[in-house]
Amino acid sequence: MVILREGICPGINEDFIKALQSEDIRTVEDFVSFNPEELAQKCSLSYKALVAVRRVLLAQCTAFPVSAADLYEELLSSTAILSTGSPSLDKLLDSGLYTGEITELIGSPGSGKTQVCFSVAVNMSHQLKQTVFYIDTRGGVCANRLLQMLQTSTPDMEEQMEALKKIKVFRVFDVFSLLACLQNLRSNGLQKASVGGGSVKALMVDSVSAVLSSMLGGKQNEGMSLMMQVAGEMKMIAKDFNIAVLVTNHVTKDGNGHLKAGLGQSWSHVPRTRVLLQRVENAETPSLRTATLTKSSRQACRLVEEFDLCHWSEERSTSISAKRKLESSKP
Amino acid sequence: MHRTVPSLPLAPSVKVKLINAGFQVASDLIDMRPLQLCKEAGISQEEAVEVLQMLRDDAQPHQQRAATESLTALDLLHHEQTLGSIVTFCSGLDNALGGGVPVGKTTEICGAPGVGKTQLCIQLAVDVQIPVCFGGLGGKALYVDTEGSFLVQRVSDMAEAAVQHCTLLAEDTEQKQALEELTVEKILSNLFLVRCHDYVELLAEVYLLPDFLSEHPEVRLIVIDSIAFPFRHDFEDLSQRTRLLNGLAQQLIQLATQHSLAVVLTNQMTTRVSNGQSKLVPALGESWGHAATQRLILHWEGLRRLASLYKSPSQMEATIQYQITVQGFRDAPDEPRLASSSGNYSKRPRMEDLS
Amino acid sequence: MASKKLRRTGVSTDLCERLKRHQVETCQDVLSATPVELMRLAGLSYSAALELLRLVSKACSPAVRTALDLWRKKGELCFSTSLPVLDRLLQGGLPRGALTEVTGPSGCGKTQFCIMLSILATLPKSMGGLDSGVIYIDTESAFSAERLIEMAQARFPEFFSVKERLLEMASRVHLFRELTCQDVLHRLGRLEEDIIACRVGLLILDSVASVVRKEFDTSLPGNLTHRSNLLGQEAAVLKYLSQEFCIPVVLTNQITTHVGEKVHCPQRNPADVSTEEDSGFVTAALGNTWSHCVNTRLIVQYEDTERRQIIIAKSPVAPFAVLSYTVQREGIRLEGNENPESTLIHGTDPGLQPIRVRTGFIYNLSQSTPSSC
Repeated sequence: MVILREGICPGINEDFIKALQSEDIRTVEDFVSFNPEELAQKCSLSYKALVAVRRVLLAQCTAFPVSAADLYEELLSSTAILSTGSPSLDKLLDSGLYTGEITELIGSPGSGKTQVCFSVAVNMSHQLKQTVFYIDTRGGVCANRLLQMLQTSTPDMEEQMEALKKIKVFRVFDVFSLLACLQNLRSNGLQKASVGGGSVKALMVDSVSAVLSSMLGGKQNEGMSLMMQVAGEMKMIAKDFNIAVLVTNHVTKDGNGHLKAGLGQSWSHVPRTRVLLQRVENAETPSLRTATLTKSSRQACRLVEEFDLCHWSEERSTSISAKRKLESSKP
Repeated sequence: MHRTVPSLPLAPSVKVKLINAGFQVASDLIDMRPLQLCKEAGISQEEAVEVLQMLRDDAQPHQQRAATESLTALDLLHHEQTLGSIVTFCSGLDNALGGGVPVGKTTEICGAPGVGKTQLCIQLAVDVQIPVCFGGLGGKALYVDTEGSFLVQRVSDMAEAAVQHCTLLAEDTEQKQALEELTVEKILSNLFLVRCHDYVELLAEVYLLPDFLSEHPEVRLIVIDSIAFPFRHDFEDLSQRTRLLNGLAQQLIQLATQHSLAVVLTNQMTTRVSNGQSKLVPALGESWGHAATQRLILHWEGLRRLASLYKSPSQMEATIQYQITVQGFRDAPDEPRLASSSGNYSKRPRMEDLS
Repeated sequence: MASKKLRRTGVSTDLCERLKRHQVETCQDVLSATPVELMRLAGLSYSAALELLRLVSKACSPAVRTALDLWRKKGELCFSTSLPVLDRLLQGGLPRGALTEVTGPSGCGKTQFCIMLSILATLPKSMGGLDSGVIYIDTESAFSAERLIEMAQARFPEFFSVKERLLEMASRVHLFRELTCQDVLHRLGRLEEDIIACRVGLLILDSVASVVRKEFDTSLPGNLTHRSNLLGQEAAVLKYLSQEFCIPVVLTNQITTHVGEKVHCPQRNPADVSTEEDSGFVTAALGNTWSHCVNTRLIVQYEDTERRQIIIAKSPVAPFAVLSYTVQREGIRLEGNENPESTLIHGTDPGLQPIRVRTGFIYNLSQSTPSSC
């Protein structure tokens, strides 16, 4: 959607634009939707000039169809799968977080969403040596905890500091700042980071519901629009820069008392994959959590895996998770 | 800047007119002059000026900086080490919290009636004033009271106990000097009190907090006791309540981060009936559970008072026992420290052997 | 404060007009909207909406004081109950500006306590009173003017030997009889004028529970929330009145049976094990939400047929304590509380504190027994 301005194409000058504006044609879209003959009559412009300009603009601004084979090739070459560091979670996500997609973590308070984000961030910055962008909207980022996690995987201080430097934290608390932050990242932040000698492969937003839930409902129609803009920005970042986006959301109960993601129906279509985190009742270790796959385009839903927040890289004994799979899975 | 026009914080009517005029990206607008914009978009002159000023990063310097500047986790680590925390004088609880109530985060204290939430809040309001040379923050406190449980006699008891405690600890000259200035009267004068009668006054007070904090930059603790009471009975429209509470939570965490202070909120418990059993759960609904960074649940077990750390970004879950004495919030006498429970406060935590 | 009209807050008239079209006219309407809502309603940008909120907030926010200011007015913080041990535990007496609840089984002495407090409030300051009027809202028709006179004469014989003083005292106690929940709420809503006109220093509501329990059957769905809302509203109005006028508010409550494990029954001597373990786990009525609303809870219960106990179950300043008393002609008389250590007990959740009810009567028809109301 480009606004008509002098100089975007030869043949467009100020008089041309003024004549078009008198017919309420301001953007390229408006221009090409009109029949050049009619336009020539209404605006008293030369038919030839109009057709020439039209051709140039169409060439400049159209999207060209791509074959699925090309798309597949592109996908193969550009998509990366980033391991989260936890074998159980990787199993659930079909070997890890996929770049170019949005993955969502949902759960009740205290279920461990922020801890999972920390663990993934630490794994990426330390094991995979990638830069991670972490947008924190709730003040939950605790660098001490990140350091603690790093200390369990390596005793070397240098390495720990290096890994910490690769995690970049933004703290925004309302929707406009969030949008500004995302758009800034899209336009120059990400390129800067890649130039600096690391590649950025992951973006985390914890949590997206904190800023968006006060936007929905009531007399504010803009709320929905702002929410979809946030979704659009994240998708564009994911696609254009081949980044895996991980967001956290809260849960609400639906009519039957089952847990579902917050932020409503429209948001539920935004992430490609969704994982529900829950505490394990009456567990011996209080840091035990179950992750249930509730939306995925690659695996069967309702897969459940158990993992321990404190022992991130260990595999849980499969007997428990197998038993869970054999039982009728929890909704 | 590549801000898209729909994402700009402008009035909706203005935005619609700009979009209809074909402006899609901020860069389309940035070189325009007010009168030109006024004519092309059909907005008033004042609105045009407002739009252009906003694009030039004049407004909201804080937010602009936050959105574009990032800290690395390493910078954040250094920053956190300077922040400190507020002790509670109950060593079990301090250990569970990693030193005390953290500065720069919001902490929610939920509890059954009479279990000691107000006592803990008053204790924190006194402890935040302990001078830096004794390991405290040497700051002031703002106490927002919505229930009327704040009784000044209690503050003076706790303040006296705190002064005595410091007197026993004082060793070097710096500490002795600080001690001379630390009197019960001084502690009382550094404790600001606001009494809000309904949710409107509470919301108004929170909107005015940035002004208050710029007048009183030494404030290091804001207590809201309780946030539940004004919101529990006046609302028919529960979704409006959720919106207002979420907005409130975001404002508070923003204040906590930007002004480096600790925000403590108290919440009540409500009975929830599920599967024929009634359980006590924190009030204000599910979505409120996500609002605070840390959640502490105080509950009764028979005659004992227990505090469980239920949610924290940096600490493990733990349950400790405490008691309320004349001097304030203290450790329970001679009780073995309970091992971490599953945080399920409707059941008795199991006593495990201490290794 | 919240219903202040926008016109008077300094918001520009143009903006007021724009907001009025969307039925936003008072401070409450503005503050109940989120900033994004205001952007649409008022046609403002985000920063202008925040500015509007700030302006409106300034108009209706309460004043900030320091604790030192309160401390300096220490003498006016409490209302002495004329029961020395109780006053000492409560650090002065019943707190002014907060709600105090007296709860217990029927016939234990709650109304007697209220009548006694009414007399005390009318006494001059030199005698420990408030020298003010009393508003007594009676929902059970339990108030008896004869008992008031009898108690006054028995408690302060020299002071009330002059008949005019008795009449003056009686004229200062303003009685309102309300029989339904709505009536109670309406009465509370209009109390401000009465408080100012009669120079009231004590507000008594006897009892909160009776009307509520008559009208709300909590076994029906939805009634529990409805009841909690109503109680919350009552509590909010009472707190507002008590805070603004700095007066103590005393409420009475009833008992209910609690289904569940028995926690602990406070004994004077911890070695005493109650033989009536299964006499029923009875506790304060109106639920957990109401337990949050009251600031101080005093529980009265039976020790044996003659003696009763008063338990301090919830207080911001006092520890858990048990005091023995009897009901005499002069009202409440504390007895047998000489040993201070034995008054302190271990307590529990004030909403679940078990209360001992009377389980037996001693009939002695040959002697006249003192009135047991």
